[in-house]
Amino acid sequence: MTWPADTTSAHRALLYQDEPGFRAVVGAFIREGLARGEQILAAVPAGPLAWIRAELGADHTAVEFADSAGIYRRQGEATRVLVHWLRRHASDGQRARIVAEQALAGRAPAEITDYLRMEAAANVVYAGFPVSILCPYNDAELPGDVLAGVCRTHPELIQGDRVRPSESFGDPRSLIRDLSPVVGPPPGGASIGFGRGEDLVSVRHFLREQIQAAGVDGEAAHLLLAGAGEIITNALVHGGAPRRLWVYTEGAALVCHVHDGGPGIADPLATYLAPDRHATQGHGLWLARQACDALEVAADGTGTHVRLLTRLPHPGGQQPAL
Amino acid sequence: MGECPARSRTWPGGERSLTGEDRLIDSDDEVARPRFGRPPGDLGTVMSGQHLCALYQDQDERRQLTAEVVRGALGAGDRVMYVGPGPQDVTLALLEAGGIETGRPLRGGQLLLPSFGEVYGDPATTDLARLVTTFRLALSQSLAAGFPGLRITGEMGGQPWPAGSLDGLVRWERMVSRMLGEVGIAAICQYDQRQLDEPATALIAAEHSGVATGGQQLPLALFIASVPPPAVRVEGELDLTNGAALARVVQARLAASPRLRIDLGGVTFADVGSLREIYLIAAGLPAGGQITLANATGPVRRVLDLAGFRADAVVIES
Repeated sequence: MTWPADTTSAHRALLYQDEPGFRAVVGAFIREGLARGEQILAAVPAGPLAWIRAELGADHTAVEFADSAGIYRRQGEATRVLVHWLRRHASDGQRARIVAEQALAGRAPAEITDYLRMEAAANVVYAGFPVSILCPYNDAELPGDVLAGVCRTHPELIQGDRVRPSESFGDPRSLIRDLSPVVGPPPGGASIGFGRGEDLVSVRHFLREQIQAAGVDGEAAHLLLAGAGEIITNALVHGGAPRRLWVYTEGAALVCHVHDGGPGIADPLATYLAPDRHATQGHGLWLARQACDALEVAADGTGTHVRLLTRLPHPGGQQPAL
Repeated sequence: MGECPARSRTWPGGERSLTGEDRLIDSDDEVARPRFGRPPGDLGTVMSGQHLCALYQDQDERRQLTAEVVRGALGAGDRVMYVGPGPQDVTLALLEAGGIETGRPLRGGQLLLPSFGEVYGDPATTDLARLVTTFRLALSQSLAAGFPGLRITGEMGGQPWPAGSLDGLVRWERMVSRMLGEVGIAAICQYDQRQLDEPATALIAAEHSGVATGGQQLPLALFIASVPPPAVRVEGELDLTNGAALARVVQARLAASPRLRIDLGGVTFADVGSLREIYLIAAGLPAGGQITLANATGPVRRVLDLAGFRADAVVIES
């Protein structure tokens, strides 16, 4: 196929049916990038990774492969890794290409929705970089609602050897709002109110106890404490009374749910954008997104709800999806 | 979490509030941010220019309030002079019994234990001008050593007042109040209440900007001067309530020396906002200035890794 000559950033979805369909498009995408001297990163699951290696032959050594299972464990983590990679490899005069695919089959609705919000945000997050991003999706395996979400979050779609604009592509901010329904805290869930900086010590004590009681430990526990702490501090500094933290389990996830009476975080993209070099704020929300498996920000008549979801440890030691 | 119960006292002969609330001397001290501040009279967060009176009923209370003053100074990174009740080993024993680890603050020059005479000279001949000169020098020495502020506490009973007169003591305290306001340092005068009758207590209290309320919660973090100066070691938790205190300490250290080593080995929790203070300060450093973050613990490293701070003048030492 003939690849469009990108001059700014580009974000396209490839809807493929099978291995040959994947290899034809991704192979052309990478080979053309190599021919132009561009830096190339592939962050894809094991199956597609093997297809890329087979397709490229010896050329595959010129491609940087990211640990897909590692970087996609948390959407915020993936964004951070890609932004850091782009800062190093894509700058004035140096274009880059990224092939990004996540294993979506079997993931829980909360994670899929968080994933689609991230895809909407990607249109802004990577807009400042000279990069062409290709997101392959297995058209034959993914459910229709996920594919509909893919069409809404990518300005251009590739099917067969045709590139066409996506008719349902929408403004990323509106889309993130649409994908952020309010989920109220469960009645009777453990909670603690807070209103002053001096309350933070007891809020952290409560949080540590709840996280431990739920069986979340190690790095996940530390991250959740740090991430929830930022959301709580944000509610104190920018939010309004009354402020309360709930901790409860929902399906296979532990949820830290922070509510305050304020109007909420004005920019739906706030948690997705890496603070720039001169930023004096935004670091806390950016950290919170990386500190949990899914982050939801929503507002209703009572104020703002922020939920941090962390997968509960599985008795067998395997980490299930949410 | 509610307020800790204050060890307040009822004052004889006056309806007037002696909590210091309405008599605070204006201060630009950033530590006590109004929104997240502590009550006036708190021994931990006494502000520059403030002159507090602290009364104890027994040795336990004396140990406790002395420890609160010293711990409060360490919680603000200030230098503290303790004009103790006797020879230095007695004073040290009293501090240690109050739970203060004195070794490092002494070695780092953060805790000084002068005698009454060394600090004030002879009360009979000292005048305001001389007091102001003395303490301006003490404050400038503290700033030059990298401390953001200076606090003084001491035992006021048993000192050589002229002819043992209460008038002399009152005049002295009035002079100290004026000096503190002019120079911009804080003092906490300790009195054994058992040696004072009610009218005397009321007179002495009236000469202070407030009466100390004890029993406050411990500082969230301590900022301890390390060797070689002006390094600083942070121990405890950093959050919204003490991020400004951290910034104040870091700025004071950098004013003394443009290359600063911050030992974060004792930090058990740190939020983005508090660590961001360091990066914001670093962004404004002159050429050659540098902040080294040493011994970052897991909680600190996690935030440094994920928050996205960037500054050329910050070096993370692993």
